[in-house]
Amino acid sequence: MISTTAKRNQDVHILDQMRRGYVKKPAILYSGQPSNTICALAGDAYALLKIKRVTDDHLLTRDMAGLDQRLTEAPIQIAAIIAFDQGERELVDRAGDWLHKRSSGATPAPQLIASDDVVGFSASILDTTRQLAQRNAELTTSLFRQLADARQANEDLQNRFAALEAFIDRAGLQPFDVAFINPPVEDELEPNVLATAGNGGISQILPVASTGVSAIALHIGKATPRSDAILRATLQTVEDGRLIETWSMPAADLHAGWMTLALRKTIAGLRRTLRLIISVEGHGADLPTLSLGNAQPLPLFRLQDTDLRQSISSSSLALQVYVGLPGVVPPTPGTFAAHSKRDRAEQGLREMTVPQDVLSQAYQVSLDAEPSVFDGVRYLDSERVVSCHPPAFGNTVAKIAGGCPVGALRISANLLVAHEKARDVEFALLACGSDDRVLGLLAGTADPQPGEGFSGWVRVPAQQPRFASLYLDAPAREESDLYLVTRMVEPGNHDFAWARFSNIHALAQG
Amino acid sequence: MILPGPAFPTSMRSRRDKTMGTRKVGRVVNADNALATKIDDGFRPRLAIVIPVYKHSVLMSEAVESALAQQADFGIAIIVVDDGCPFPETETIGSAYATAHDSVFYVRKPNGGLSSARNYGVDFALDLFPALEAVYFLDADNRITPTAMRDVLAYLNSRPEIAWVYPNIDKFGIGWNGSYQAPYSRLLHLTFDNICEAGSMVARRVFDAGIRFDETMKAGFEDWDFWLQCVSSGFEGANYPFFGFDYRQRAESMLRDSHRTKAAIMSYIREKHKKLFQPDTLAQWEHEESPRYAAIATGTYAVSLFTDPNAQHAKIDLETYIDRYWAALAEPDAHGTPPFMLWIAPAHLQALRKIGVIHNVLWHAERLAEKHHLVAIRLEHDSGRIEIRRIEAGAPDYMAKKPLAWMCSVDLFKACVDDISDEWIGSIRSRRPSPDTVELVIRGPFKAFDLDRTVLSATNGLLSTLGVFRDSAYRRGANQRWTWRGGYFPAIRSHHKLLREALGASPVTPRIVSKDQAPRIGFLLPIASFGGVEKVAYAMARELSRLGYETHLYVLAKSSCEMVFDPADFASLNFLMDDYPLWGGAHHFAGHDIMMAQDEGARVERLTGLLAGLDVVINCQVAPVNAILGELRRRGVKILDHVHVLDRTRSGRTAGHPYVALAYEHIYDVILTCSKQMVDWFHGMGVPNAKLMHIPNAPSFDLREAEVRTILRQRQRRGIQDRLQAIFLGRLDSQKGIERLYAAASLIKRRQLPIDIRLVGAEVLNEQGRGSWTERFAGLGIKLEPAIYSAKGLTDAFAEADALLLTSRWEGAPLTILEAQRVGCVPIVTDVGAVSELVEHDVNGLLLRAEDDNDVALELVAALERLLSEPHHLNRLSTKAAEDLASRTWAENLSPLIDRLEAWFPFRSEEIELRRTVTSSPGR
Repeated sequence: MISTTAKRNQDVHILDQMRRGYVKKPAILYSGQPSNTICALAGDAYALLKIKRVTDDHLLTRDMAGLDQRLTEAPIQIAAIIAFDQGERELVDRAGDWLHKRSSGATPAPQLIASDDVVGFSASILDTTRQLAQRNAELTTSLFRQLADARQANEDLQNRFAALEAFIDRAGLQPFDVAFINPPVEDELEPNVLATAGNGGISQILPVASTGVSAIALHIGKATPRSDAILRATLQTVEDGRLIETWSMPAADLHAGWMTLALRKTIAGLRRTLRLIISVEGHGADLPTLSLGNAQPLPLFRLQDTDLRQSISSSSLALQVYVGLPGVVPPTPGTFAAHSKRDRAEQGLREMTVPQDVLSQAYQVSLDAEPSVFDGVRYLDSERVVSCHPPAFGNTVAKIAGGCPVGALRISANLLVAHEKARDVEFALLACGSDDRVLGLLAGTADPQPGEGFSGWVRVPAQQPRFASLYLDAPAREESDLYLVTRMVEPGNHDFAWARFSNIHALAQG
Repeated sequence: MILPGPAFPTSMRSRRDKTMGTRKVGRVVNADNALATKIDDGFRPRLAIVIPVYKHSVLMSEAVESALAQQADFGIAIIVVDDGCPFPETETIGSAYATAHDSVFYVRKPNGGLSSARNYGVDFALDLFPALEAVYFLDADNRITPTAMRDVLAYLNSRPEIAWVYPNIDKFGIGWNGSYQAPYSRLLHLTFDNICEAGSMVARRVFDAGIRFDETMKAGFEDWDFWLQCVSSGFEGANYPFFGFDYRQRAESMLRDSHRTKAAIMSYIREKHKKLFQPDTLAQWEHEESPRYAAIATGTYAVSLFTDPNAQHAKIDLETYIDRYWAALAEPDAHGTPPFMLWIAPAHLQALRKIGVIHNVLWHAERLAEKHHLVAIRLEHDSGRIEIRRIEAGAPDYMAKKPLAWMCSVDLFKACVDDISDEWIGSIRSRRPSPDTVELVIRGPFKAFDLDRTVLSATNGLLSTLGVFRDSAYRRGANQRWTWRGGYFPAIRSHHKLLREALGASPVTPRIVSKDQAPRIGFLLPIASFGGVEKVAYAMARELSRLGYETHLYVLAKSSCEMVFDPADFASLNFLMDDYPLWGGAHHFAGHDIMMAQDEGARVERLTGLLAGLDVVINCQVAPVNAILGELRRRGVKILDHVHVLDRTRSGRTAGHPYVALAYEHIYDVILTCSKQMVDWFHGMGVPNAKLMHIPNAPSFDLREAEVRTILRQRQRRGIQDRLQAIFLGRLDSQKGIERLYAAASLIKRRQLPIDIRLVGAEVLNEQGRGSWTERFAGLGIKLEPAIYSAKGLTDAFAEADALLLTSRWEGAPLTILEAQRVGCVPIVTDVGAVSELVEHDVNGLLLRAEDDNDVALELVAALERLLSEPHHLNRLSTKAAEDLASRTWAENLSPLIDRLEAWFPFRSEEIELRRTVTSSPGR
């Protein structure tokens, strides 16, 4: 006679001696007694395992050969969990729970099937197989998606690094540039577009593709230092509705002049259209006035009411769009960073036009070893442009004494070859303190020193307006000279090369 | 074979799928083994994205993923069509997507090319999804942004007038961004490039109309063909500027291959869509989409935009025009104003319209505006003729009177707007304008009322318009491009040049098909004076015009025409106004100098432009124009020649237009002749009978039956007078045998016969220095009377005469004989040319059969003596002549030609017939 304790000890012993199993075949776990047909159906393709016992740490099963296995891991694939006898249902449910806890969640629900219900058995197996195929397909397509994302990311990175490498390899390129300027226009009526727009505020389609955009500057015509309102600016890409950036700007912090909204990083990826939306948070009875540009003949670019998607002005917002190399942030302090308030410690920036009386003093300087007798520099008072007709060979250099004001960070100009028959002309802007430095800077044999800047050569085809900027590495401490230079891309024929610099203006600090 | 994925429990559907609807799928294979799929009620997609796949096994996943990522609140079915791709992984991946995603359908078919795959996908979608509203085509290597389908379907549904929406082109890989934002232009789509990417969304009604991709096109541009099918069926597309379509471009692609074989493919497309490429169609589109002229009404400043001023066209106010002008400066590919600006009072436009020269004036002005800064247009009254004259600086009458209209190119106008000074342009107020100005003077039977309404001058109109433009707020702007995508399309203001290139014509006559679609017949004349050739042309035009055909007159060697016809008989009068030769050329055929298309003097582009828009050309003896008629024939214009006479050289060699017609026989659909004799001649010279058509002449002008009866009664009452009245009408030259007539007149005088000879006509100068026939006849007491041109004058002259004398050495079938016979005037005429087809000897006239000049004179005098001596014979001949002519009408004689026209233009002829019935029905 074996006592209860002895029996328990014996069981433990037997258990200890039980072989630990690991099932790789698709497994059918069951209790009760299946018919021979069902056993034959399972065949060698499936492991047909009878559930004998369920404990916390293992599942005791017996295979068709009568061999017991102690499973501490769920089978890799579970085809079915079946009770062939209603009385065994509880055991099977417990086994189901046990397996569910140890699998990835794809465990089939336990089912009750009559021991001779071959059809029910088959349907159960097939359903599980279908679910398995489904899961595999989802997994596969998920991998394709990840692969596609990786491919696109790779292409994007390739382009970004190529841009950086080009910058590193080629002297004179600016890491940061103004891509577009729509200057403010004085309007006696000073319409306050924010006040007239609906709750959604105003929206403006930007004239520059998203790729490379690093900051947007808006012009405040009239500040409202006592306002409680907060302006919220949102930058979106239109074609895919992606939210790029948001800014919150207390109206009280906005001063008259240009206000720059800097992105956390330059926008990368495929080129998209940008829409800037500006709305007012809270009750803003006293709102700053956003300046408008000149009358806009292109309906798509007129300022719109965001909600109505209709023009609320015949103009666009006065704006500047900055682009930079990947990772580059605007060099100017005094910007609104995304999601942050303006740093009051920074000094403001202002865009200023180089005065007409300064421009009108432009004169030609001869710097080449063999100075040209060609007289190419004129200030055209009627058009407010400096005409700088290049010679057939060499450069025409116009000097504007004091053209680079104190505090200047950037000098920009619009460039135009104003005759359709002209061949391509290259333009350059140069700021330096001495004529002796000009040729070296132009040739790239000398590097800009503090207070000096060079725009690089900008190629301008006939009648196709271009834009050039030079940057100084720090605000100019003193006034310096500005040089406007032109040359023919293909020396020899300079007929009709009516090269013109216009809208010469500076971004200055202080 | 179709392998749709099986259903799976709702709990296992991805979140994305839920937003796109749900479905349950069962599979049924029909007898054709084309598997049909039964969809339960849950999945009712409004849109299907068809993705054809062939050898893009891996990249297709990007297309499918982008389709799956759509953020739409409607169901989207994604149909991956495996076009028999040989790469097994295409099936693996396609099946995986269909299995994993409820909305994806993977179907596989034998390889048949891109068109076949797209069509398969379309038919699959239409069969399975009855609620489908549109189909989007996404190539397997391209992508769309998540908002694309939502936004584009909304846009498509918001514009019921459009049937498809196409994107801008944003290429990745080899990056490029092109703006396709211009308003959709069929003209551009046909003549420039395929402006609609295949990755477009197409409304279901296009497919319901039976339109599919052409499965024979396997080398590319099948999408271009598809859009042209849509255009043919009256559908139009539109660009959605924020589409979100990403086009993968690599260094080599099917598209690039297709560009290599573009010429051959285009040839196929042109042939297939011949009707679309016809000048009529293209000109109509130019008028509707990018009109060539902006006419600013002096006084009101309303701006009319048209190519054809007679067709219905848009009218806008000056402010709107200014908006468009500045938009076009900033982005000329997407915005446009007409390339030519015209300042004219509506009354003056109407005056030009009334006399039928409006199109020709615009045609000349356009050409001149490209050569000169400005074209000043002046109208002057002339009751006897219509003339268009160019006066250049330096001519004595240059700018003698104030212009009634101005034209310039929009480029010149822009230069004036940009100019800060008024000095240059303001000088147009003077007779010595600083701008290079040419004057175009139109003389015609204008009414004083038409010319007087000039309170506000066109000059002021031009300068005031300029002032308004200069004051515009836009002028202060930079006119810079705002759309960041590059402009790919040509400037809208240069679309007229696309038309020119497509037609090989410059400029193109600004005339489009009228609403009634009547066939348009152009009569080409060397000059438009009082000759028989032009009179026949006028008579034919009158009859055809009565029947509802639209007739146009082209005068190529002179820029004026005498008003011997009713202007209403022609829808338009057109002059080439160029130094155009009447004869000659560098090539030779059967003793004749001829011109070929490649010769400089042929003026192919200009003439093709002038003659643009005709269905039928009837060349009435303009020899050099044959050089360009072959080009018109290739474009489907029916070319007819109308030959009247076989001339003779001084040495007696047969020569003239019949020989020229032989040289160009292949270009003629039909050669019309005025005589059977000429038909025989052509046939004998090798022209098939089927190409020959005899159109007997009839009197050149109409006379009412009552008038004829009155004249004949008067003649009867008058009876035989003491003296016989004979008349000669025509040129006093050798061809008319004037020597013979003179000899006969001398004999009559010598014999003192009671015969009065009335000599009416004009002396021909430099007729071999034989001296003045006027003086010589005066010596016989016969005074030369000036030529008679009016119908009434001619009728009166014939009515007063007993006999018509015509002693010609050669003739065709002279109208004079017929016009004389009609009122009982007996012709006594030499039996030359086709005269015997008009005169039956001793029945309705007398034929002179002698050939020697003296013998002819003797025979003529004998014939006159016989009539003097046998007055009843004269009366009998007179009566019979009038009887014979009573039934000889153009309406009757033209019937074979009209039958041919109806065969060529059956539909249009039915329309004409219907109109005639309606307008002639009782009660109207």
